[in-house]
Amino acid sequence: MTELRDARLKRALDHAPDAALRPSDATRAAIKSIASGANTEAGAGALPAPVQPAHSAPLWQRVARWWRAGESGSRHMPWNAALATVVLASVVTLMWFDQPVPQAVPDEVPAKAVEQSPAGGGVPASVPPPVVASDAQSPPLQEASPIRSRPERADLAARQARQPRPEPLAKVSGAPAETKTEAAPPRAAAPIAGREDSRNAAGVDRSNESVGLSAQTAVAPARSSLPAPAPAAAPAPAPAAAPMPAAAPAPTKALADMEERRVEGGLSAASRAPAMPSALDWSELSVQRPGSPLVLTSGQANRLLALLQAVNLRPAQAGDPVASAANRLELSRHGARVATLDLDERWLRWTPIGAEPGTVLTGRASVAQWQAIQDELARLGWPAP
Amino acid sequence: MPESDTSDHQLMLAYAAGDASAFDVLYARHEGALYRFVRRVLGPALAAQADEVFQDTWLRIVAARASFSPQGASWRTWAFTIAHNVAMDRLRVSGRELSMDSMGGDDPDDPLDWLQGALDAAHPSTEDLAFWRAAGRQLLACLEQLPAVQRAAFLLHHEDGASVEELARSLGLGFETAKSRLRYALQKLRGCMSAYLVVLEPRP
Repeated sequence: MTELRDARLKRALDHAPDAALRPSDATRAAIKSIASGANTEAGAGALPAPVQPAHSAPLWQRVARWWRAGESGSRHMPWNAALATVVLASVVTLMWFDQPVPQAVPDEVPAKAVEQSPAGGGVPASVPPPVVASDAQSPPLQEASPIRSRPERADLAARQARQPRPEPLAKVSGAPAETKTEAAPPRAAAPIAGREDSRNAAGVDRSNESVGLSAQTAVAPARSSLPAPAPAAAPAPAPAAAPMPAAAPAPTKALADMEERRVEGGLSAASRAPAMPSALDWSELSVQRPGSPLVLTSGQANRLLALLQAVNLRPAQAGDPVASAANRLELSRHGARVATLDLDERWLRWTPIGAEPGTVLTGRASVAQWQAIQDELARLGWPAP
Repeated sequence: MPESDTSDHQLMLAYAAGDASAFDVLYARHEGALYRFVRRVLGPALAAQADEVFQDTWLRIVAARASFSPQGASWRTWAFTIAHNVAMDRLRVSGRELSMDSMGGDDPDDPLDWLQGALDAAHPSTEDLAFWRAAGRQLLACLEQLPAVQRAAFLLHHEDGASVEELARSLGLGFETAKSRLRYALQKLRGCMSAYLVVLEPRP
């Protein structure tokens, strides 16, 4: 007995009741079987039999062996899962075979309005962009309502003011659309006054890279002869066709600031004054000035309309000056006149056709507003009133 | 056919070379001791898993036949070390080792009173065989009260006959650590077995 080894405990351990314990026969047999089996495999490995290379076996044998190995365990790919994946992918592909690829739609614009805008009959591809900084709080567009509420109208005016302006008819009808859209210097290079001349001198138009403008120019040559060309030639959806403010061809900074002030002024005025119908309520704008017959679609005249809407209008009274019919704009929808707009010395008079007398609106534009209206009319190829 | 006096080392090498009968001799030679060791390390609580742990021990021995290298220790010590590791893994999984360690530990100041409650109050038999059988039964009960690491150290040292150096090397412990484990195990077991050991003391 030493310090760490006690013979008495060792003897007691030897005489413990479990001293004669043995593993079960099944355990013993299993151990010996495994040991002999391992040795057999090792022996086979030590003296490897001449193993035929895999490529020497017939193809059908290799395929059968490969298939059995795939069925037997998880070492290989689960073919049933792979087959199910292929079937599912095929079903999904067939389901979406004829469906258009969904595009990104902002949350603010209802999907219905977006879908109906290009084919709405009278609304060209250049529908105002759905997301503008000034209309973040405004309700979404409702195409079904003929008369819009003030926030909607102000929102529309602001968006229209930010859109690229359509080409003058003289330029559009004089050259193919493709040529104009290919070489397009920035519009910012054109001054405010004499802008038309500057563009003529350059021989090119301002840049309108957006799809909407391209669609407009594509239908422009036929517009001068047809009274009411349907905007179906511009099938681009509104979100793609509507240029965002950052990407739109911008005028000079001074012009942009001025327009911004006009629009803002228009917004504040529109919030107090009666409203003219928006561009969604008419499809054509015709000018009845003698010697200058001119028909514009709402897509071409939306900027002009935005400028006119910015003017503070009020119900007409008895003492208001009556503008001459010489400078009259007629708005129609599918050939039927909707309203007339008389322009005379900064005075505007809006007369709905068939409406009650109290619905006639009139107002006087500010100097800046009048100048902007004249510029726009000149840009559209119509001598200023 | 391996001779009966062939060493364990030679039997293992013969088995690794493909002699299946060498394994049978080796197995028969150490079956009982290894099984008892496994059974005692596991204790009564995990006695039902003794066969499984025992089989796993032999499977590891078989799997390690090609790389068998005693490195100074005997085959028996090597095999007992494998059995110890397998049994300790099983104890660790069952959570029994942790509870036992938290109960006992290696605190040298820990009194032996914790064993007193587990003492068998029965008096030893006057007959030698009956006495040692009773002592063995009591020792198994005392072993059950030991922490697993101390129990394994005691069993390896007394049943396998491994020296303290071999014990430390096989368990991956420092010499002093292995020695202290043995010392504490002996202290507790002697206290637990005092009723039997006092009879064996020479009377003045």
